[in-house]
Amino acid sequence: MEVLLILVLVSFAAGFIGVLTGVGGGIILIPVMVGILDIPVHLAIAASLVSVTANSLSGGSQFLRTGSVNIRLAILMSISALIATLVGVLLSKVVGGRVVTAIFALMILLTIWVMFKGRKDSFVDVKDSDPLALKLRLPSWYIPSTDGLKVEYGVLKVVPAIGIMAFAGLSAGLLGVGGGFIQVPVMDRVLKLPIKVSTATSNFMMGLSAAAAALAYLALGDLHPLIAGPTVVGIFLGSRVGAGVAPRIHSKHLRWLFLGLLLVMCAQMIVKVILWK
Amino acid sequence: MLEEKPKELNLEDPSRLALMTLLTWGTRCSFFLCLTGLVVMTWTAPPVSVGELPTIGDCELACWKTPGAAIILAGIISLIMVSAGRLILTTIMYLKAGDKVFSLLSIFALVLVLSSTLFAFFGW
Repeated sequence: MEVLLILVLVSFAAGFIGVLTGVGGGIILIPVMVGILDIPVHLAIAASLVSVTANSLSGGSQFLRTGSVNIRLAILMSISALIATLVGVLLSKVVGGRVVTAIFALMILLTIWVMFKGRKDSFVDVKDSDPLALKLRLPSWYIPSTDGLKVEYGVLKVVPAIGIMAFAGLSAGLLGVGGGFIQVPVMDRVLKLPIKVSTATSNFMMGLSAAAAALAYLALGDLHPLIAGPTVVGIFLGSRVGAGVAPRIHSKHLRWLFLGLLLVMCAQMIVKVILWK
Repeated sequence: MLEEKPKELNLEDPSRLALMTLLTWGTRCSFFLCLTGLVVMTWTAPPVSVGELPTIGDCELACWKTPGAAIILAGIISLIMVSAGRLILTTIMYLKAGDKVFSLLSIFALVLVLSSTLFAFFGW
């Protein structure tokens, strides 16, 4: 069946590029599904959320192995993200497909900006941590490289971060993306966590928000087996292959190519909004 | 400011190992269920063309009666349950460590995830 094959290939590409560029598969998947394949936006969002959940879980075990996930912090931040996720799902049904597509186009622009700004790894010492972080025992350690040496890190500005994380949850419920493009910069620049810990902890959180939103869309009747099934399979395979190939590819050149692709997708979504019927 | 050493992270903790096992095998199981459903759908379900995609959602409950769809649904639900299941394990982990605050937060997060099923009252 050609439709199933197309969806598997599109999802495979989304998973593959997502791993190489550090941007979630949803940001590639939804514009292609809505802009090119003309799939109704809520069905695309629901399928994307299932794929985000799959992606998050498949990478999770490795992160746990190296102690990169700060589970306490992930659970704490997830509370505000999950509440906002449920609000996001409700909003997406209230505002309708056209507004959701327009917001998605804006979100792609935000993603481009975040990718442009880049990241530099700088984190605080344990003794400089926020008093609340110390009280909740959030500072921790991780193993950044194969030499097995532990590196301790502190945590700053917990309360503002909890508030900002709600936007990540909102994006999951409203737009069907993982929210990593908000979570990772917040953990990096507000909480001042090491990059690897930011990525791993965001991955843990993403799986929860996406699962909650996917369950909500399933309950609402927006999860279609013909779209969600191939998406899960494609994303899973694509991210596995991407992870294997990643060390051999110069990510800098790929990043520029991907930014160009995102701009094209953004334009496509804007055209769709203007010509909405 | 308090001088407090971070709580030692025990990578060999049984609950943590259970978490890794759940993630590894849970996702593999979900993937194979979705793949099996996809194969069944490819071989037995009526063909769907790309032109039918804009109206694909119109079938509602009937969509799930397509051959292979029930297997895909099982795969998707198992994926969601694996994600939520992590919170059950973290609850156990923190209860064993005597951390009531974080065990309660884990339970609360689990309740939030499962409460999304309440949207069924707005759907179908």
